[in-house]
Amino acid sequence: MSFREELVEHLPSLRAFAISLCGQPHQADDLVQETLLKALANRNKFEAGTNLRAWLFTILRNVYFSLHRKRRREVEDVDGALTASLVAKPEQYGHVDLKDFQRALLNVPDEQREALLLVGAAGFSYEEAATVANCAIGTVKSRVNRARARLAKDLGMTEDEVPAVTSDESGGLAMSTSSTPVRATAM
Amino acid sequence: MPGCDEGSGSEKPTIEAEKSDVDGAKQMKPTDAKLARSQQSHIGSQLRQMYDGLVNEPIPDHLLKLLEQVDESEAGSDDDGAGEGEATT
Repeated sequence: MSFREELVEHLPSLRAFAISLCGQPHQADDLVQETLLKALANRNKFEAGTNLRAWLFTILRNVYFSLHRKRRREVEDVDGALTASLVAKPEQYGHVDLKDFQRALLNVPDEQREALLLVGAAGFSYEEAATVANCAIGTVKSRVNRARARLAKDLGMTEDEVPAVTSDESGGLAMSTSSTPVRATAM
Repeated sequence: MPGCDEGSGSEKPTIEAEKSDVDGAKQMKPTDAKLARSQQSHIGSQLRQMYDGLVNEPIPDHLLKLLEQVDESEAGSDDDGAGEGEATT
């Protein structure tokens, strides 16, 4: 398979990761585009036969964390669409709307969301994820745990109960009064 | 692609919350130290469902066009100084 064909092969997952990471399809496509351009420009740095997928994801997350994360906050401040749509909606456990889940995911701090996506969605091992995110394996694990805990909380899943109808937190995401990391979003 | 599985032989992702890492600030019983299995798997399946839905979306044309222009004879020798692609383990 040629380098180009391999890039095409990884495109869908790269894009899924980008969208899940930054939360906005348009910005995600910009992210993917920049990633592809960088991959092509730095192709000579890639050692054939090594983990191209991890390499591409590394490029993408580096672009996101160096450039796009700030932009995402700014957009959310101005465009209330994202936050306005974070309406508490009682959902029966097990029927949580995927959009609600995606919104809850965006409330997870970036590095934690990244770790969860790499390990829990994109299918990387902890070791690979640590390489992509440029951190220790223990840090990846910690971030994944925190991401899950945050999601469970925001989705109204408490620690000690069997899955049931959500409690009065009922998926109240942005409106939750629990301690939230300082984020420049219009909440 | 399975969510938490990997095939490279390195350690398998298992979710074990270290107590010190769990935000919550209240007294955590040992059983609270990690999410219940049912919650973990529920979050996991929601996550994969969301992600797989995105994977299955059609790729925007402009991204495909970008790759169509790649000349296979190029070695990508011009370096824009980015240097991000170093994760070649």
